[in-house]
Amino acid sequence: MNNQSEKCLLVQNMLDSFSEKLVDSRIKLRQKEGSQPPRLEDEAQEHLALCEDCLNYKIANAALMETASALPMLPYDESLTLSIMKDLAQDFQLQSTVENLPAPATRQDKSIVLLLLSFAVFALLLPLEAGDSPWSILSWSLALSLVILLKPLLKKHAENENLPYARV
Amino acid sequence: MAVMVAAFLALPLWLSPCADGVAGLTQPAWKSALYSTRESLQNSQPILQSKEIRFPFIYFRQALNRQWQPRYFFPFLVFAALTFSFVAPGSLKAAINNCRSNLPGCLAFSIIFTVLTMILAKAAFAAPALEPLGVVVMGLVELAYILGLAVGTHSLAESLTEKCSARLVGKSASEADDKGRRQEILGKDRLIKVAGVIMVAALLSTLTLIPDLGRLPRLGNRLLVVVAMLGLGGLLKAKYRQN
Amino acid sequence: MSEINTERDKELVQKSLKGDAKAFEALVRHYQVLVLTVVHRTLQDQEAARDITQETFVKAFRALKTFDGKRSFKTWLLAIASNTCIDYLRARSSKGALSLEKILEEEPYLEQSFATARKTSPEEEAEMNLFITKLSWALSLIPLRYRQAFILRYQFDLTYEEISQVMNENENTVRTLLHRAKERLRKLILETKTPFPNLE
Repeated sequence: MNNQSEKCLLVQNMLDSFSEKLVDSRIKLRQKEGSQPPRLEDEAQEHLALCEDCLNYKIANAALMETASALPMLPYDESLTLSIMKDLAQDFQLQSTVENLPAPATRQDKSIVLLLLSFAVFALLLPLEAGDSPWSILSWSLALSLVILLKPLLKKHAENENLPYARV
Repeated sequence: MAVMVAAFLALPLWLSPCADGVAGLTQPAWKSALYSTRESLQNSQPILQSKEIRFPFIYFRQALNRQWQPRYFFPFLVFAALTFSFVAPGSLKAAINNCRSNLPGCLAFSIIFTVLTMILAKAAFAAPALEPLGVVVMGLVELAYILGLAVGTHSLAESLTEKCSARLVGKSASEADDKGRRQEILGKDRLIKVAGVIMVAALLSTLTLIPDLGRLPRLGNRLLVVVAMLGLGGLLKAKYRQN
Repeated sequence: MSEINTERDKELVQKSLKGDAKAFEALVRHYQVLVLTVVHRTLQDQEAARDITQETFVKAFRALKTFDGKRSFKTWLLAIASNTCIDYLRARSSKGALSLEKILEEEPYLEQSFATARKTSPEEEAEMNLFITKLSWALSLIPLRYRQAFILRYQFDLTYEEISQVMNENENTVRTLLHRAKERLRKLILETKTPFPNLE
């Protein structure tokens, strides 16, 4: 009995894997990349002939996949397109005006300026308040520069930066 | 419940010196010591903090110019980083995202935070009545830097292990479709993350060993503080944006 | 096909950046149905889906400079749509009693929906026999993130990598979400006691 359920679990895993491979091959086919149609393992096929539960599992899985790909799409809405373009009309107008002006500072530029200013205040306060020597300021500057040099290592996809804030 | 209430009421009575007199008992040694300390405090000068902490910038400089012990620093850092990832994974993720997407912004944010809090602490220590506030502010700054260091460690570990993880775990679209394999990958992924944190913590701990380089005071400690500043900035930005 | 689309999208993005409204309109026309359907399926609210689709394209245009072509425009746009949905839910959760996490992870309507499903009239029951209706119904009962991952993968054929970019999760989490979504859907559909149509 236990052996049977273990076998069922194994076959169901194979079936899950098989259905994912089917989707992958469908994607590859759409992208016109050559792909071999996936094949279900012989072991699983033998088991399916004997086990009704697993056969039902297979049918349910196949039905889910097929139906999901056949779920209806919402119809194209011309008024929505027009409404979006209307919303953006001002932006396009502004863009053509701005193109003639010098490029504005990006968020990164602003951050760098803010960092330099804040560090300048910090570096000014250290000798004034703590009697730190210029060598200490140099040590701070070196440490800061070394960490800034790590930026390429730390950098993530630039595209994520301006995406609206998601979950925290 | 009744026992707890009774104990709550009885404890101060039992600790008071009158209790022994009423009961006709002699005081135990620890109780006599407690009373004598209290009496000496009652008759002493007002409590004052040690001189250094009352000057936050000097305290900060002195702390940085000391030799930090890597044998204590390393386990503490690993503990702080792993505890933070366990207690607040959402905040950690957002903070790491901020650190990795806007490094100068995060550094600027935490430098501003440090300067403002130190000035606040200094102002608080200027008036004896506000001294407790000064101590709390300094404590908060310390806590913020510990959290910042944890975030900084995680950010560095994540960027180091990101590529390495994909290569070691080897996840392709169809590879992890079964439950067992998925569990295996998740387990390996977690293990790689923890290993990354330990590796970066070890690396950061060795920085404390960098001595004064000529007239240049302890660069290693300053590097660690800048990493902590980076993490702290990420965390502050995440909280600020959340609010 | 996909390569051609990507190249064409990049070209349209470049033109839009130069202020060519027609180019951006072409992108809106091409991706409107996709965004609208994904958002509608995710939120199960047609009115909100329309507003969010509009907001998504406006945000996309304003952030167009940050699109560097490392991933497809489609994935980038869907990521914005996904985040806009979350912002919408966050705003809604701050008004109501439900927290955002609850809306994203739990099934607040599950018990209600089971109750109503069992009390449907014979005509409606007959309608439910259509498998598509049944799947749509079951989809509305599973947690939002499961639903989102499921439709991106099986209705729109996105790869794990693309889904992870859209949902801002790692691939392992996407796999887990999909596995759980399928498990819940299978359970939900089987519990309605209507036989599966044989699609083999």
